Parts: sequence; C-alpha cells; structure tokens
Amino acid sequence: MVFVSFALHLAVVLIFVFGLLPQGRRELRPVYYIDLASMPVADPQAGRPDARPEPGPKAPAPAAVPRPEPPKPANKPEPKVEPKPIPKPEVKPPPTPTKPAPVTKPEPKAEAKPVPKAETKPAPKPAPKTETKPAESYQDTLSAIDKLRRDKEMAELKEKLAALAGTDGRGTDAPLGEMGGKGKDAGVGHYTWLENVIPKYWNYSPYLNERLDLEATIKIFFDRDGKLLDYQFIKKSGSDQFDQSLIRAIIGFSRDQTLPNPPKERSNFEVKFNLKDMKK
Amino acid sequence: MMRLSLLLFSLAIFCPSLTLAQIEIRAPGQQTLPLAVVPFLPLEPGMPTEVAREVQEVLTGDLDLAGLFSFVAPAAFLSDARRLGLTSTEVDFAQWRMLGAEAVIKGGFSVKGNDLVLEARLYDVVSRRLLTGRRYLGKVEDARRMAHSFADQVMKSLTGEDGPFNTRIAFISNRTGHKELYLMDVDGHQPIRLTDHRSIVLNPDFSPVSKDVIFTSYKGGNTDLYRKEIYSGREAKISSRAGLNIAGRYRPDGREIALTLSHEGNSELYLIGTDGQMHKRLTDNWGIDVDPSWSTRSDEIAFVSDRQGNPQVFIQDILKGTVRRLTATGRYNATPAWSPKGDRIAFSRQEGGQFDLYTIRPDGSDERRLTFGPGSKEHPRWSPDGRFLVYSSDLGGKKAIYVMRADGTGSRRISPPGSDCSHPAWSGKW
Repeated sequence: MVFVSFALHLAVVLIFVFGLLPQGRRELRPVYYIDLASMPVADPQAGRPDARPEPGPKAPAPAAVPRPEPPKPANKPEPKVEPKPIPKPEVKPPPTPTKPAPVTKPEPKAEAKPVPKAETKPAPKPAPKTETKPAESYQDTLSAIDKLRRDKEMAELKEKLAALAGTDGRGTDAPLGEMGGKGKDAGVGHYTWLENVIPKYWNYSPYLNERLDLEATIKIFFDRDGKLLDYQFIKKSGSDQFDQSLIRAIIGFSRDQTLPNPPKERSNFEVKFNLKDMKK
Repeated sequence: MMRLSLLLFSLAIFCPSLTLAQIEIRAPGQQTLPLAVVPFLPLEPGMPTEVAREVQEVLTGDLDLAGLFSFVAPAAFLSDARRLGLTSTEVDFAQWRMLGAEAVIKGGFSVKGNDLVLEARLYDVVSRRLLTGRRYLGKVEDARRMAHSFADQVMKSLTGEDGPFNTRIAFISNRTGHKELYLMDVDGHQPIRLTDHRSIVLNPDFSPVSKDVIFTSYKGGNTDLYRKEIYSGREAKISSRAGLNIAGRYRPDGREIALTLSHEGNSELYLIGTDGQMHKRLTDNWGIDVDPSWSTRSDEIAFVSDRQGNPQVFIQDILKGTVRRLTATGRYNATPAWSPKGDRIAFSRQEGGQFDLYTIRPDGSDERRLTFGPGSKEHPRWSPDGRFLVYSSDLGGKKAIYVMRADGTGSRRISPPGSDCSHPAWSGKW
C-alpha cells in the first residue's frame, strides 16, 4: 500500500516536472491574416454570400466552357471567372452536374499560377498546353471525384449550419453579393474590400496617445490598373503619431496591394480613420 | 456665368476620376507596432558578446513594459540581423518588412579595456528612414544605463514624450534587518542602500529639481523628516518637531514640502520650506490628515482624512482653503498619488481585508479599478511621464515592488526576492 502510494506521488511529481511545465520560453510568432470572405468584384450584387444565386443568364456565362479549348491561358478575364462560385449551383443536383464540373475545375488549378506570369511573358505558354492535355482525362476524373466529395461535404456542413441557425439557407432567394449592392457580380465592392484590407496595414497603439477621439481623412488615388498613385490628407488628426501611423498604413498598402478588378477609369476614395471601435 | 455653371456640372457628372466615396475605418488592424530588436553586433571583431546580451535584455524589457510593441521573434530574423549595417542604405528593409516588422532597432558596440562605445539606431521599416540614433561613450558597467537611455529615445521618437526608463526608484527594504532606504533602476537592477539608520525609514520622495530624496526616520527616537543628497551622501534633518513629521511630498517646483505634523496635538497638513521653516498650516480639523499629494499646477493637494468617519481621499484648494471629498465609494481609501499629467489620481482601497489600486479623475468621476487577484497592493506612485505606476504588493508572502502601465496592464515584479520591499517612489528625469 505504501509502495503504491509512493509510486503514485512520484508519478504526479514527474508529470509536473517533465510533462506540464513549459519547455523554455515561448516565442511570439507573427500573425498572418487571410481574408477568404471578401472577394472584390467590380459590380457587386445585393444579398448574402451563402444564398442561392439568381436563376438567370449568369450561370452559363461563368461556366466558360470554352476555357479548355482556348489555348491562351493568359486571358485577362479568367481571374474574374475563377473566383465566381460556379460550384455552388452544382451542389443541388449532384448527379447531373458531374459533366460541367470536371470541365471547369481542372482549369483554374492548372492556370491559376501561370496566369500572372503569363501576363508579362506570354511566350512560354504553349508548353503548359501540351503538358496539361495528355493528363486531362485522368486528372479530370480524379478532380471530379474529389470535387464531388468536397461538394457533398460542403452541402452536409451547410445543412448542419442551417439547422444550427434554425433556418434553411436553401429556402431563401437572396442573391449573392453584399448588403445594398445592385450590380450583377457575386462578391463585394471596392469600398468593402478597402475597408477590410487597409486596416491590416494600420498598426496603432493606444499607448502612443491617450486620446481616443482622433480622426483623420485621407484621399487615396488609384490608376486604371488599380495601383495606388498618391494619397492626400483631407483632414489631419492633430496628433503626429496618429497621422504617421496612417501614412505607414497607406505606404504599406500601396507596396503590397492593387485594387482587384479595377474599374476602367482612375478612381479615388476618401478614407476616414478613427478609433471609435477601440477600447482601452 | 450660366455656361460656366453648365461646364462645371458636366465635369462633375462625366469626369471619371471624380468618383468619390468615403470609407470609415474605426480601429487599427493591430494595436501594437511590430518591432524587431536585433542583437547588437561588435563594431570590431573579437569583442565580448556579454554587452550585446545585456543591451538586448534591457531594451526588450523596457519596450515590452511600454506596451506599444509586439516583438518579431528573433528566431525568424534573416541575414540582415547578422550584418552590421547601421546606415539606412545598408539596412535591408525588405527583409524586415517580410517579417512584418514596422520598426527595427539595430546597433553595434566596441570595448577597449573598460571603455564602451555603443551605437544604436531605430528605423521606420515602412518609410525606410532613421527615426532616432545615439552614440554612447562610457564604461562597460554603464551598458544597462545606455540601453535604458536609448529606450527613452525610442519612446520619445514614437510618442513625442521622453520615456521613464533611465530614472530611479527609491524603496524601503529590511534586507539588513532594519528598514532602510534603497535606490534601484526601473527594472530592479543595481540596487544600492542609501541609509544606515538601523531604525525604521519610511515614505521616500524625490526632489523634482535635484538628486535629493526626503524620507521619515525613527533614528532619533522621534519620526523626523530627513533630506539626503544621493551622490554626495550628505544627510540633514529638515523637520524634527515633536510628534509626527511624516509623509513629506515636494511641491512640483521643488520649493516647498507638504507633510503631516502633530506638534500642535492633532495630525494636520502643513507646508514647510526645504530648509524646514514653517510656511503654512493647511488643514484644521479634528480628523487625522495624512498622505498629501500635489496637483501638477501646485494649486491643490489630495490627502487622506478620517474626518467623516472612515479614511477617504479629499482635495484641498491651497489658496482658498476649501476641501472637497474625492472618493465616494469604499470604506477605506488611502495613499493618493496625483498623476504628473494631472488627469488622474491613483489610490488604494481596502475591501475584504485586502488593498487594490484604483484611479479616479480629480473631479471624482470615471473611477477605474486597476488591480485584481490576490495580494494587497498599496502605495501607488506615478512615473515622471504618467504612463506607469510603481507600487508594493504582498502577493506571495513578502512585500515586493511592482510596476505596471497606468491602465493596470503589464504588471511585473522588479524588486529582488528575499526581503520585504515597500513604499516605492519614482524619481524625475535622472
């Protein structure tokens, strides 16, 4: 009995010494943000992201069946089509959409990476064409199966989610897009995109200045390609630290980002920065 | 005129670049500045690395307490961290940007005999410009002080206000068996004993204009007020009136001292000169009035009085003599400390047998509790920039000195273990 008690005590001590105590100093790792929710489009429509799309001419257009045939993967419009949730409509009729699905799926995969390079150097394109074609049938079958499996999983998840929320998302007719949108593309507008992306470049500590009522407005100018050309303070905050943090945010943003699906003409936006949602 | 209006109207409608919309961003993505503190490298080969380790430790500790920064993990540093490139053309900003850093501290040092040269730079990674840089010359044992000084520079360049890291904290400790006065760095290093009274020393306060400290001591059998010059070691008794001569606090201009005396019977607040001469009696009440603390403009004094039954914090107008009660809640509020910025008063409140720290606006509004959890926290005092508080806590048994940010976050113990440490006071710019 004494031996058992001793053994148990020893075990507890060993667990605490070797098992539970932290091994060395924990190092802080940088945090990376990936936004999967806000895919910007030029002309967002109203609605919510998980709703059924409007039954209209949209479906055939994005299907872009000719994609396999056109040998030029460097096509500009392609990126637009890729983000469109073509798979979503297919979720409902599982048996029939098997044919369109494989056709569209492999392409984005194969072309997604080459596209940006192809824009600058269109010459090396023919090579990938020949490589992809022989593998197409086998790869397509595999990816079709994979896609079907994922679609099924997704449908199940959605059902569970809808059940949890107490409503069935499939019953609503709300179109895809963002609140108040009136366009035709599924996604969010540039406003929403900028609203989501710029803060990621804005680092400001409340310990820099105790005032939380600071506010500044900056006008940012984009060229036709969506590149940030310039910025201009419309109204400064009165705090040098606050204004400097905004300049750093704009510079950082301009180095890493361009306006996706840029409008055809130059554009500008007024961005008002404040600390209304910040609590000390 | 009509044509001009028509032209402007047409332009407003058809000119594509006039498209304008307003976006509101209501909070930053991250509430800290990502900072990389690169280990300092020898300016010449063959230098001891001990200095670099010490500088790195001090800088990281100080800047972590500031709460402004999140630190890029040193394990992620790339080749630029191993290269002694201190000019803006030599720093590889792209590397630091890739690591997510918004600012980077780089530096070098050289040691010749006991002489140390330390060079430190703070760069803005985004705009690729030098924010501040310093070259320090001194002895090897000054390395920590140089690093504290550069941490102050970093604070100044980013916030516009000097940091408090190259200052000192006085405190009372019984490590010799008697309560004596000690001095230490803001991070608790390099403690030195200032008194050898072999009695009880209490309530230190720094002169705002010179490197003097006043304190109360029972050395002569009475509770007398002393002043000590820290560097010369000279000590003088300022007030030795019969009864209590306690809790002396320098006026912000250093010309007068407010303290509690009881030579007329009851414990009241008085103003005396730095030579001990009586200037003015401040309070006249049957209650016990103690722990004065000056407002920034020297026109008011916060103090503790039990004139309404329980100890509460009151504020007295020095010129008019009017008194108003500050704390409205709690049965026992004590040790007020007026922020050097003038906007808040820190104090301790006893509830459930334990003290915790609070701050309140001088008009009695916006009371905020700063400390929670076990341990009695007492004797709050502000850093000279009003960003931090030092206090004592008996968490874990013996009393120890802690520092934290003025909002109650980032609390850390700074006094060494093994003895009771209490009654801290934060010096002005050293």
